[in-house]
Amino acid sequence: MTTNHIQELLSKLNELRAVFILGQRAIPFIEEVVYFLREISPLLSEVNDSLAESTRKMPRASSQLKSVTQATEMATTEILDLIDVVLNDLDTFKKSWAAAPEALQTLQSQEEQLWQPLPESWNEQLQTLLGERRQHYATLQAMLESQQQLVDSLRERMNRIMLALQVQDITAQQLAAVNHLIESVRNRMAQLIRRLGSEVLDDLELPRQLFAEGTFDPHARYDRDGARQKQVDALVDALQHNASLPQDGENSGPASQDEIDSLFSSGTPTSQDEIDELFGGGTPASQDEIDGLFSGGTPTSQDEIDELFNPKRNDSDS
Amino acid sequence: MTFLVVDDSPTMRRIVCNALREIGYTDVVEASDGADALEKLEQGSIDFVITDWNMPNMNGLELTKAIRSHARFGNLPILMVTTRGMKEDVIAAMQARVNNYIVKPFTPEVLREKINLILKTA
Repeated sequence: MTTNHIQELLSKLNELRAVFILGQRAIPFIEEVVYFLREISPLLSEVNDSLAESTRKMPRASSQLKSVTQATEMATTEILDLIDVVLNDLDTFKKSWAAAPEALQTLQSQEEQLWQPLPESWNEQLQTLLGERRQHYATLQAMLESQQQLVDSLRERMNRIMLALQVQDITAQQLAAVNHLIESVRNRMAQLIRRLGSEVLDDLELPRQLFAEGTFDPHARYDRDGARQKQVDALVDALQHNASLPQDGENSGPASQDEIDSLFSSGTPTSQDEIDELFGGGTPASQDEIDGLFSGGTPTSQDEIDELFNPKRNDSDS
Repeated sequence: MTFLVVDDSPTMRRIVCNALREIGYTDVVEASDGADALEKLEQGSIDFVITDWNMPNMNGLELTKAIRSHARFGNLPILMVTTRGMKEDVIAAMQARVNNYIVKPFTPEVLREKINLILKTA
């Protein structure tokens, strides 16, 4: 055996020692990874089940929102029907009493004429009576005018109630926007669950869209102060007269579909490889990387090497 | 004068029709979307169109463009009554050549004002 051979043997022994050291360092790490996976496995399963459950419930929530819209529309129709009836009754009432003030005036005038030819000796008593009757006629006239005003006021209020029912159309659009959001989230969650390899949702069809996009305004608002109309008027005026456009008003609103999409995908959708990589499917670490992990540490003692060949059982292993 | 009120919401159609009655216009035809409106326009003599924007089948913007490109009723007055009040919406509607624009919820006073303005300049 030459010196070279001895040197080569020593070199190989050193390599073997390095492997032992690596194994010794790596085993606790691998054990920790195993424990971590054991612990996280039920959690992942729970998250998966929870996602699946939430995703399952979403069509129901969506359907309930649709029911709310239908119910409010039915109720609004009933209110509108009643308003129509009341308006018709008020119109009929107004028409039937329209001639009353004139008839009362005619009656009063005719009565005055009737009293004129009576003897003058009756005059004092007649004047008192006539005065009282004039008072009654005036009261009746005032009552009729007040009645007309009341009918007009009731009509006006009924019309205001009708106009306030525009809220139904606006809230229906807001609900449709929420529903659309739920459907989008649900579809994305279903895709995510499928990408994670779950078969839980295989039996679930993606829901038919209850509210087609474009049939609602996600920014619909019930503002009655007229500020929006003023902004629109200013804009229309500017556009009609080729003037410079007014400054932007408040432009905030619910998230658009693009915004929702961007929440779920920053660029390209997540691939299976990317998901796999999250769970450790990447390329194996190089020897240099492994060495790097352990370099700079304390040299391995003989005890540590011995322990590699006679590992002590940790209580937590059992 | 015959009005055509186009809105997919029956509630809104009734409200607009009632508001028209209150300001003196009793002759009203209703349509539930743009496609329905085009049929109604073909059927009868409509003088004025009041349309919503967001509707199925054909929306108010598409209806406006369809009307404007039509030989017979291309010059009809069109008033957009919609919940959409964003700047880009108004610009798009004006580019499609609506005559004026109302944001819901509207009042009969605003409706009367816009109709009068359109009829005055027509």
